[in-house]
Amino acid sequence: MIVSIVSLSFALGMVIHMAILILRRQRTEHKGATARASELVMSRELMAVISGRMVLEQASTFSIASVQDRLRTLSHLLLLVRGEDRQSLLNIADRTEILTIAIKGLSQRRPARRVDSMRTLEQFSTPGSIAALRGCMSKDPCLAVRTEAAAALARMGHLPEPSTVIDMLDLEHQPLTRLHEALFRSSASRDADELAYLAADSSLSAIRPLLVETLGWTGKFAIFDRLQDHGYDANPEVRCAALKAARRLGHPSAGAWAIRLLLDPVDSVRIQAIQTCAKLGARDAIPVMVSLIQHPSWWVRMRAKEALDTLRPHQKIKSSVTGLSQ
Amino acid sequence: MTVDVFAIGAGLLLGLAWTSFAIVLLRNAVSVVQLIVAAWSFARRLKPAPRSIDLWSRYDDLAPPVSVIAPAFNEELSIVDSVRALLALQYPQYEVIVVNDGSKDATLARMIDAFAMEPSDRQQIVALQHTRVNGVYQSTTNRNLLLIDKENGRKADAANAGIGFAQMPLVCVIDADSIIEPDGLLRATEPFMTDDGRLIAVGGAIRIVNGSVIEAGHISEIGLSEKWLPRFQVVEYMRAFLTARVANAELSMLTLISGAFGIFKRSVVVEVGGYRHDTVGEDLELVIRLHRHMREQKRAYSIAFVPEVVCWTEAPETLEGLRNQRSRWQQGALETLVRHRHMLCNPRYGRIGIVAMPLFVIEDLIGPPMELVGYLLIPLCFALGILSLDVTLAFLGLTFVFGTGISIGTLALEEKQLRRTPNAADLSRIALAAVVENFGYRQINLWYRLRGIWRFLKKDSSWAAVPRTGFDRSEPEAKTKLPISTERRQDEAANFEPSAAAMDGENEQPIVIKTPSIYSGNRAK
Repeated sequence: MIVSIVSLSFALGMVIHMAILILRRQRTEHKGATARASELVMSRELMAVISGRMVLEQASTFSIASVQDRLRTLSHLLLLVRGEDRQSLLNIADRTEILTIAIKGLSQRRPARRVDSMRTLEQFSTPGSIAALRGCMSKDPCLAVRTEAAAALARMGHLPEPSTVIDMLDLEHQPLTRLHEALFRSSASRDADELAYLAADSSLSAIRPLLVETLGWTGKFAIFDRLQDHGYDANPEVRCAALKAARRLGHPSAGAWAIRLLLDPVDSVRIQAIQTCAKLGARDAIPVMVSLIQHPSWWVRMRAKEALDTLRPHQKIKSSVTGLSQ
Repeated sequence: MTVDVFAIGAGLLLGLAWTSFAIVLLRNAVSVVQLIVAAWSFARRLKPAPRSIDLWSRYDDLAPPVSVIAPAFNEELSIVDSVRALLALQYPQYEVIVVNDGSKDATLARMIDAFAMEPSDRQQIVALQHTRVNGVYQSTTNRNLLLIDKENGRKADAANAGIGFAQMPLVCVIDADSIIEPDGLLRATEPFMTDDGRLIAVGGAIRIVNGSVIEAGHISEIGLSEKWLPRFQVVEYMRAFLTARVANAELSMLTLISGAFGIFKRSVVVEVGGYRHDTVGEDLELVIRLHRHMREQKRAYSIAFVPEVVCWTEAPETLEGLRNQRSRWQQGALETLVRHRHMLCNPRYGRIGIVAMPLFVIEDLIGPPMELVGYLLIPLCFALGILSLDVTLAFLGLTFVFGTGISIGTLALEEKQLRRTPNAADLSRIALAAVVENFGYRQINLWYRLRGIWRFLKKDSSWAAVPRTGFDRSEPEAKTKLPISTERRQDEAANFEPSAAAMDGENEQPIVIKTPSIYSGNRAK
């Protein structure tokens, strides 16, 4: 009997829950046209405010709309405008304190909800939201939330300096991911000197490859000597990173030391050296590369063939010569 | 003596009835646990961020390059549209490898004409296929499009040939008639953004395309089929992808990545020898083998699942098609279970051995026949007066009523979390289908699964076609039937030797290439 009652109650509960969801959806669909019209009126009001044809207090529809509707309209407009107009919209967001709820959301109990609030805030690059996100990045107990805050700040162009990021995200002890690479790249040109200093710090061995590779995104040729030093580092990952950075910077002077790394004992370094020489147009590397098409590693042979085809476009190598085919 | 025989018979009937009841109860309990875990997982989940698209468009080298492998057999009417859609995917760096699996129609010619393809000397890194490669072509208009023309094998063989040519670190194996969402690759590879190197495979949610409007290989309008059979399958797919797989992935027990869309680390797939040719459930078998391989080698790994819809597929609209599909799935599951039986309850394989494999046994081996037995025996026992009304009602409640609750619960989860049903009217129709499916459709499916068990016991390895309507163009029979003789399958099974070569990205060792350049005129055996 208990099983029957439980089955029936469970099914009934789910059906009622579903019925509520269907009704809610129906109501949203019915309200859709009204909501769109109201959003259009709010957009017009805001455009009038930022062009100086109206003061914010006169924007009656915007003033009485719900916070969610106001946020949605502002987010939409922010995607469409640039420069002073954008700044004016951000000022409106600050003045009307509509971001207060999102900032409060950063202290919710569930990490996923905190991140939801973060997603709202990252659309509004105001001093208030930047400060809130920084606070979250430094103090949130959940590493995933701190990382999300860092990603939001990176998207807004307000990531803290690299040493702070390393501390806040505990990068010396956490596995590194592509997201971390993206974070450092976003502030590389701004923090070039600090990155170069940190990349040379042997105590940061776990993240040195990442830091060295990020030097390629600084856009500063002044760090070339340092890259050359890293190219002779004992750690093959650092050597690979130095080659990638040199390739990214694209200055031909890196060709000289990249050629030497074509004979590196580690295959992955050779592959990077091959690709760097090809990218930098280092024709002096051709004799060594020709020898590499006999290399035991398929990948080294293949990359050497590709590089030689790039460096000598009129002298394409057949696959049979490289030993790729049987 | 007569009394003894009656007592023994009654005891046997009662025993079977109670066993059936217990198994149905257990299966429902598992479904509830999965629903709860899935809801918990959705509640904790960080919703997909715009960061992938934004950061990866800024630093496109951070998006792991992907080889999309599309095996195609007799797809002349749809292949050009499908490939155009694949070439239009939003992703920084990817290549499309179409494998023409010995089509009897003009698939090859259509591809060559439409994409100005010319012979290429692109080499296969590793030969995982068992059939000959006749030629390799590269598009002159889309340099990231490669066409492999090979003898007919089956999907596993075609996918293996494509994997052998793939040079990117990730391979995405799809069906040629799968419709990938424009940002499906971005969504599905998002777990790699925060991966520390352990992630080896990612599955994504698949939905039923029947009833939607397809234009040039893209879905221009999401819709719901007018027919009941596809609607029931919409509910089933939601239950499978939003409840079972989300829960299994949350508990690190994901054992199936659908053949219609799956992303794998190429080096690991090559390590295990690619897809097996001697099973009709190659997608399930591959994932189980990946688990087994990684655990035997004591390597840290993970397999993730993305609940967002990444791909759409066509569901059979006839009972014949459904029967063939479901019995094939059942047969594939049993083949995999038997092949990896020593993982069962083996602590060496962790949760996969201790939990996932026994659940497999309950769900795929004894579940379907025992539920059918229950439908027959429990009312019979009640009629004979050896089972109480309470137990009979409880069984019927579990099968008909509780099942409805689970299906509706999954639909509610979808509506709250993803909201991909186009409108309230369609939502109501799917909800109705979720109720109705428990009265007939579910039982028919059990019968088809029983048929799959029978095919497995008979060792029937013929490939039964799943007739489809086709999105807009194809001739259903020719499109879906992949003929291969039983003798050849058995020969292939006997000769199957997974490659032992360890591969790790660009550090992998050279593999003997069985397939020669098309210029050499030789053909490997």
